[in-house]
Amino acid sequence: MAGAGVASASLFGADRRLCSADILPPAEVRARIEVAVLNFLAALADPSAPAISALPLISRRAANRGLRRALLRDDVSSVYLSFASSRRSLTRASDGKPFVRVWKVMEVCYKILGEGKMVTQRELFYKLLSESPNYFSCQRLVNQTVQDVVSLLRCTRQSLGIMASSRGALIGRLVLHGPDEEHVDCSILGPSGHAITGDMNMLSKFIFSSEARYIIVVEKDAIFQRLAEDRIYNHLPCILITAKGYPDLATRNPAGLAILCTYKYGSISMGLESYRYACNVKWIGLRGDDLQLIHQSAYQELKPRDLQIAKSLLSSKFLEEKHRAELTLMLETGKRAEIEALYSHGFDFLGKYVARKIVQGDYV
Amino acid sequence: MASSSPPSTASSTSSSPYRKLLHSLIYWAVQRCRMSESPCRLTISVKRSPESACSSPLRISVSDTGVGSKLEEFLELDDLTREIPVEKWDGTLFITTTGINDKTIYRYQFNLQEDTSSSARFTKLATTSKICLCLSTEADVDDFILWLVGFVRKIFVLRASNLACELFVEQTASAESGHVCLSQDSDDVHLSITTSSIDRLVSGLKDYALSHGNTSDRDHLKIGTGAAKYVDKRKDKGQLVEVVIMIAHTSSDLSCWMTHCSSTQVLHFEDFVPCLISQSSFNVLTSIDWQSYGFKSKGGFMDDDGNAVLQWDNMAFAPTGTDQWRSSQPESYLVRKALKSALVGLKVDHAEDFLSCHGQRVREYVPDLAGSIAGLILSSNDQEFQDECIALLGLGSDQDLAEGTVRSCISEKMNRVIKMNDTKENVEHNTPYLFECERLDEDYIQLHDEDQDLIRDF
Repeated sequence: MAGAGVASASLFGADRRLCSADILPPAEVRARIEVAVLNFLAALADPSAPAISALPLISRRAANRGLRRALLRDDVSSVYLSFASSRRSLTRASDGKPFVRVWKVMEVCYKILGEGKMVTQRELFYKLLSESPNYFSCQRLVNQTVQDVVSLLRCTRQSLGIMASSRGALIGRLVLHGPDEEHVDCSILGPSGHAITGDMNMLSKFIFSSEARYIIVVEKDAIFQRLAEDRIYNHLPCILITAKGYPDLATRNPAGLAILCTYKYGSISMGLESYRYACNVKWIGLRGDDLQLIHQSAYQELKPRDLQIAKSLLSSKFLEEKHRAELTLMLETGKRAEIEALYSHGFDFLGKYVARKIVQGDYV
Repeated sequence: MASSSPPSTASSTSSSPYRKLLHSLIYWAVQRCRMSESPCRLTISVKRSPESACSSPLRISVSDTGVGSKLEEFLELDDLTREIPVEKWDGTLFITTTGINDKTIYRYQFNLQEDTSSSARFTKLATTSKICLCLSTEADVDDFILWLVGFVRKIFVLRASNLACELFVEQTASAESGHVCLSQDSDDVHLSITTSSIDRLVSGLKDYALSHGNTSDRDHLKIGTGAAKYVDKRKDKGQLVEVVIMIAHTSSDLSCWMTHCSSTQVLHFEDFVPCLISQSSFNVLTSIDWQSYGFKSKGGFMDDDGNAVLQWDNMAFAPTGTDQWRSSQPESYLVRKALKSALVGLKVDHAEDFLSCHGQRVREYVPDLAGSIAGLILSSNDQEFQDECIALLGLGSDQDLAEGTVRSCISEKMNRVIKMNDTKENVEHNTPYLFECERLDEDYIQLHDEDQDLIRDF
């Protein structure tokens, strides 16, 4: 990871269009928040032209988003955001509440950093819900406001004292050496695997040793468990990882591709940090060619939501040709199938299917 | 300046011909009084004769000490006569008139139901009487008298200079007898000969609002006045529209709030006489941008008596007073100009109370925002930072400050900015940014869609 870091840093230095969020120590973030307060009060108390300052937020809309293609060997393509900012002011209609939300999150983060703590977004939500229920009625509003603060202060979410919740799990040929000398052999765990911590700082202190050749990213938790129970990593030198899908979505296949793209390029909502986390994943399945393996009765109609996601993906200029072809085929047949449909050939078929695909290099 | 058609408008159900007739008689009496340069008296009296209750005629008389009758007056009476059936009114009008230099009093009897060419139409009489007409009972005499009382009360509101007005109602029906006597209470010490008509209107309106129980405090009424005029020098005529808006703070009693505060009565006068409002003026009333002054209008309607009523939505306090203006059939642009001028006047004098609806919405966020920033400042253990904040806020740095003090200081400053910028143009453009940014904003509006995270990525 260190090599990639240098490459991307130098690229950012050269390309002035790209806006990024900095990883900063708590004191530095608190200092930025203090400057925000002082500037606000100074404008408010200005004797000749008192005013309520507007917030400049890096725009997280499609128009401000670009794809940076990998140039160097260790580099990956990723989403980036440019420097256009959108203006949020208290006095503009419907901006009022979002404006106040930004300040409320800054207040809480300032206190958290002062106490040297880390919280998850979920914990942050409950704190804000109890203090200001009128402003934060759901988790989504908290997440969006956190991203607003990231784009205002230009520092990473982690720097604000907010860590990702640990939703991920892994299993396979990996040994973790933790900072306190604990030792986890991930090949001898039960089918739930090892929970991945959301604390980036802690993660960066682990030492990984592995003989794996592949990392297999699994979208669904059930599939992860199936492959874990079959101990696929005993047949293939690999590590299985899952983030257990994407919680808000109900449908799967076109969304599966969308999830893959998120792993691959990063997301626009965290566009200022995407370049750090994008990785070059390939798609194993289910794909168009695999439909012959599935019985007709397992096909499901594409729902309007599926079509919406598919259309959005197709209209993106980032989509690779082969992915585009797969998606078009899916739309033409108008049907989708869950990966569990492969179980009609027996429960161990999935493991064999994945192994065969990898060995034959059949991924796009 | 006068119109030749009767001053009535849309709702014909309410303006019965009797009312129109009386309105016309009173209108001309008032004009005569205005024409005179000395103080005048206008007396209206209603007598119900002591015969059987169902069919006793009403004797109504209107007398004044003004000068100068006009032809239009009689033409109008002629028109009105046609609307009243003979069995209700036989068309007889007794007129008594005299002049200051005359030695005699002239009495005439007018038979308006007779043909114009008939000699019986107009007769000189020997006995004295005033202009009075006898009507057989209107369907509901009580309603009529009630209307008349309200009408005269409205005349009182004007406090027209040099005009003393009084109303006598005498009912001597068999079982009961009663008197009603209304006279102008013109003992307001603030009014003198030189007081302008609009100030008189303000004074009269205050008493009117008090008497209607909309408020109990004369001094806490908020008043805005405006006027607009048009003068045509060549034709030596013009129009003048004067508007007074009165707002009363209602009590905190919830029941009072519910019954009184959702509507506003409009008093409309033409040439110093209460009049039904014209459709174009009513349209002006309902189409004004009330939101800029903090009023949420729900439209308006004409009530049963043909008066305009405006309705409001969820007011913290309501215009329990009334709007009124006068001219004769005013041009709507004059009405709009005068009304706007009155509203602007209100806002200038009491800016905080008449913040536009948008301004009120913004102001709702101030306590929370101020609280958040105050909390942030006081949670800091960086003394230098705290001192700098306190200094910027202009609070004394010597003592330990409570969060409440800091919060109210910030709130007060923000409210001042909001008030200052209310309904101004180009405010957004001139508001500074919190931080300097590399590129000027391109005015994206942040959408908060549910699917923003995933769908919009690709």
